[in-house]
Amino acid sequence: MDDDKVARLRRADFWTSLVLLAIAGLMLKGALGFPITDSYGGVQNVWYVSPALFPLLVTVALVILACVLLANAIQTGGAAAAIAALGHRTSGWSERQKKLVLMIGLLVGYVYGFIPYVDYVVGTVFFLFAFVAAFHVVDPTAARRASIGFLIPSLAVALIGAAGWMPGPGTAAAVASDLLMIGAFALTIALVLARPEARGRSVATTLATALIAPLVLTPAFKYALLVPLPREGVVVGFMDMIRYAFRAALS
Amino acid sequence: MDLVQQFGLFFSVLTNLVSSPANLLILVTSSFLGIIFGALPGLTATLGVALLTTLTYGMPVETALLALFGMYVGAIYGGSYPSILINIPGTAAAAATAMDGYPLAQRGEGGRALGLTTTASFIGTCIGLVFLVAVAPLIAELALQFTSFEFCLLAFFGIIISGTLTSKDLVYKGWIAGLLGLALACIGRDRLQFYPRYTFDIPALDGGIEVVPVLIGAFGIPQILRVLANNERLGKPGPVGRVLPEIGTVIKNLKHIVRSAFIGVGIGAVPGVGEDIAGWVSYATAKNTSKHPETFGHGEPAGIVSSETANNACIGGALIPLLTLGIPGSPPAAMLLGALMLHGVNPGPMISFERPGFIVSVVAIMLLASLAMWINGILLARQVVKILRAPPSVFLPVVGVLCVLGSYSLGLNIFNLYLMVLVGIAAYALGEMEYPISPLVIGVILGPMADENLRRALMVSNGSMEPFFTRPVAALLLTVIVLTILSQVPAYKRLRKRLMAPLVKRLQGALGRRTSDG
Repeated sequence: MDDDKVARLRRADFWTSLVLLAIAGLMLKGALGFPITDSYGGVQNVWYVSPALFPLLVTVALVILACVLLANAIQTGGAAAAIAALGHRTSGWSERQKKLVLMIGLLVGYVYGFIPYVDYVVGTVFFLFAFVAAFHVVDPTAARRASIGFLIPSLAVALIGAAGWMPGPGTAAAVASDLLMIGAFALTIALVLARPEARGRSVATTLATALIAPLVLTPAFKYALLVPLPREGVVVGFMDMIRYAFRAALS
Repeated sequence: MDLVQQFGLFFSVLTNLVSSPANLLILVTSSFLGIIFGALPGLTATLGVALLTTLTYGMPVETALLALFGMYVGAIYGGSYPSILINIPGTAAAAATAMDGYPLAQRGEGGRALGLTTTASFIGTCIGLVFLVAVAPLIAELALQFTSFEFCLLAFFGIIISGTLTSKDLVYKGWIAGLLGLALACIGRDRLQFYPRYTFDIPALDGGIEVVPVLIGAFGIPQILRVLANNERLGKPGPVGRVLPEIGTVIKNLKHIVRSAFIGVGIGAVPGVGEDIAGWVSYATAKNTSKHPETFGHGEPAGIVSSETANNACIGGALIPLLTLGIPGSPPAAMLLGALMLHGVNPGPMISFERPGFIVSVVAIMLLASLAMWINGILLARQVVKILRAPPSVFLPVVGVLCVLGSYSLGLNIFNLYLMVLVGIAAYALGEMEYPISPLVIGVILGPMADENLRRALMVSNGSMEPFFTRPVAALLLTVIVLTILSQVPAYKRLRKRLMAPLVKRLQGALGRRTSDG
């Protein structure tokens, strides 16, 4: 391991040890609230049967190791370097950090926004288009447009959903919200294709992946493995209709 | 069950499985999928087994195991493809294979190298399963003597050893990861009194943390983030000639194969230590014992054979503690444990009573899986090479969708997805700070076992700790745990050095006298 990396790790150790101590503190607070020797469910507890015993053991071990980590960070200069770095302005985010934040944003938007509140196929096609485009499309402006086109509606849906304002499945409002997301997807594609530099093989591959993968996975899980999808809206409903029509024709 | 009965059962399971065309199709497909998972850098055997687990939920246990072992064996072998052809290991297990595989491919002998890895992997898996069938019943019988005291310590032993051996930076980072896993395992109603612990009045947390979303999150999400953030681009594989079994070269390297298989099984049996370490240790041993170590790194077939035999033999080794003690020997085995539990199979000492003949069935299934791998490897190697041309920026987002669908489809619970994303991001952050992830996962899996057995043991002894010191196996486990921890304490290290110094001096003196006498 090179010296730079070791120095970076020791700086990180300082912050990690503090986070671990905070976690241990919260665990301890919770564990002290569990019955230790008092009665629970009509049973008089003894300390060694208490539900607090194991969490307390884990907490104590975590505190000890966090302290060892902290001591090592202080001893090796990691703590001083970490505190000194606080006062310095950094030159902004690196390309790698930007990519990480983007990926986490895309995942959060998909899982917390689209998965519970938008038709599975619509959400997945949109997610895949944005994700593949962000890393595969050659033109950076087009890639950025695809990411922003996904992040705005998905995070908005996540926030509205968290507030409890998203419509329940099977309602007219749910159909309208699905159609709205299809519209947002179409707009995103239009914005990407508006860049002449983006009209190439990379966008074609992106769009093909975004469409083919969900159209293969959805029937495979829903009809072959009989796994209901997280949200079945307009497109999954349309697939159901095709399936019924196909089965009726066969019979 | 005597030997004849075991053979009878083995062949009956084998015949039953082979006689069903659906089973054969599942076996060949999962093995091929496994090879693809292993071959694509960024995808791992653990992730493959995790994702396939969700698809096997509705299958009978034996068919599900056929698919899971097909994937496991195939993925460990598949990692050798990019190692040989583009010098990027598909899985960590195949990293050592690149040392001699790539130079061989550069000489235009890529097909020969692939043939060697295919046959070596097949032999490695077979030797591993011989050990499994020979050793597992002995350990299971010994483990029958275990009580709650031993099981509690066994869980801690697994976490400590795995933490110690997998940590690349400070050893106690591995232990911290294990403790975080144990902390996650505390969430939910406790098993003895059903008291809600850390549930924050969220009903989805009442049942505790589900293992499969944690595993998919811990192994899948960081992999996607890491590969795409680092912008890992793959080289173009060169032309591959005919892939033949290379029996002649394999026979020439028989001693390397046998030694590597022993190393693989031994390392696999250590909790949490996986195929990657087996591959490297075996490669280094082959180089150190060779008469021509200078040829290693320049396309030496013995190097390829050693690492590939060891990493596949590791599978059998990893299954020994998994089936007999309920402790996974490697990260993919941890996933396999989760899959077995989903199918109502609880590995551990009671397995021979609860499911007589289960170990023999596993051996038969593994034999079929390794055969499928060999056939796929010889016949379809060129097709797999084509898949290597797919860019990670296209297939990794699809893997992300599979992670989501896989985590959801087990419990049909969206909360599992929220959990998976959080665990994934946390695992990525921990990985960046050189915290190993295997001990965390093992902690989540073994946490309930440690908790339940600790309290049960203390109930039996009325709160006395004495049996931990007086029962032989418990005392042995406790000694190993304490010594492992002490070995990292600077004061202990200094004391040991001080105590050992006169002994070493005396030994050196004695050796010096003998040399001068000679």
